[in-house]
Amino acid sequence: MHNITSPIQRSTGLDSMRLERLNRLLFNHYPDAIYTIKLDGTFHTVNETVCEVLQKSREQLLGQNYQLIIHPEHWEESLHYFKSARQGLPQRYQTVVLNTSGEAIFLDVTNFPLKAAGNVVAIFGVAKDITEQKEREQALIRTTQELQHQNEELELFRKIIAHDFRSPIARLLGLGKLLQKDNLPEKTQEKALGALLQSAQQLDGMVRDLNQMLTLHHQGDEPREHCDVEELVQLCLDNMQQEVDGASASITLAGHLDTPLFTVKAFLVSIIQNLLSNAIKYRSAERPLHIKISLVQHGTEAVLSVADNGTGMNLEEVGPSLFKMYKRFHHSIDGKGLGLYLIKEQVRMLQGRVEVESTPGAGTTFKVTLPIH
Amino acid sequence: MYKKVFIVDDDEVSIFLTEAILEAESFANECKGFLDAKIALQNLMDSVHGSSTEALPEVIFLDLNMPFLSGWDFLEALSPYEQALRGRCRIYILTSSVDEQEQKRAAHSKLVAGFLQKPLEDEWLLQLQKN
Repeated sequence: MHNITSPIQRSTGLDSMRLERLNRLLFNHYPDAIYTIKLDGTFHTVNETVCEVLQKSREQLLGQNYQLIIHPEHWEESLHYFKSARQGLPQRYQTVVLNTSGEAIFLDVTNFPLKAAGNVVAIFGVAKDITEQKEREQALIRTTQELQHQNEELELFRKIIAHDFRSPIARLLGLGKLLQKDNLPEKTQEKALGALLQSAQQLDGMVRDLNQMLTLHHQGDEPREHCDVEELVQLCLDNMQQEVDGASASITLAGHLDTPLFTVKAFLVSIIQNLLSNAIKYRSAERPLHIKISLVQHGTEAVLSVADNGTGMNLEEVGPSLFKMYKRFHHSIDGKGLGLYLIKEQVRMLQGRVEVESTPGAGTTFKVTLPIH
Repeated sequence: MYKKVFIVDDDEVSIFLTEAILEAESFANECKGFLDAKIALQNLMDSVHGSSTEALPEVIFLDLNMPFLSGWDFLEALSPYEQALRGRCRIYILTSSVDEQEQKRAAHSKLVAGFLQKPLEDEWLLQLQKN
């Protein structure tokens, strides 16, 4: 048989401690922050965890207003919670405080009124540090967003295959069948052969584009380096010499192109080249093409703009589709519509943004904003 | 043989190809290709309203994926004229897309007489031909 011991363990050591001392020990060494705040908002007592979390000594804290440690974004709501607790209503909420190193600490706070003779005399509170939990949550949200983005892209690729790749293939099949027919007029036959070649070339171009686009996703981790924008613009202009000359385009460089950018070189070159290529493609037949490339610094960001005096477009009509894949907005211009999509994706990976201003018949300006560091 | 057929497609080669096949099969007297769906729509409206002497085409081959005005937009713009077009003008979707969702969507449209995938096959034309 078991020897059943009494559930209440009697210990002379523990017994000898007075409740007051026990409470003080518990208060001081409790792993969560415990504190009392006077009705005027100043700290009355704080335990050791409060000091540890905030990286302040007890002397620094006592008598100081609790609002001074709250993250400015949470001032208003924390004042609201404090007032409610002062009116006798217990509060449970999450907030953010700043420690002496300036780090944000997420806290799960329970505040309740401390009453004496029926009157609220102070606020009594317990705050649990949930920073790690919050960080895990945020990492999870980021991962979910990335997954969503990749799923959207998969759907996009499915559409590209179903619509865009099928298009030159259908033409190739049709042209092949047409050419099999007897007694086809010579002119039709000639045109069909030309179109056959053109469709094959288009398909080839699309395969290359798609490959480039898929490669892009592996380049996101590419190391950033200090880039001399002026040098890169010159490099792009040299690469595109033929197109620039063919369009007899005049190009002006302005602003502070010597501002160094810490970014992915390959992306920056691709962005500039695609913007130039767009300006050339959509030039106006009525006037000689002029392109202005400039770089302006705004605080920690740099704005690279490429402005042309081309055909322009009605942004209200084009709207949100502008940066989508394989969307074309101009009749009679051979565009595969991938350039702007690539720009958008590259800018996104560089944590920047791209904006466009355009007036039909007057020209278009693309503005790419990138972080300098 | 049909009197008049419209081909609405933003791709020049596609129009040429459809025209050449229709011609080789002696499908119609007159084939009109429209690179811009808006102009085709305007032509149809004018004929329906009688503001032009042009007769309605008996058959329209309509592409879906076009900038500005897609094939779906085109059908939506025509929906108020469903009655006026019934029995006079048949619309066939002619697309290179192999997206099943689009086929399902087309099946719901009363204006659509059929869904054809590019390239246009001779056998289909035989079925569509006017006896």
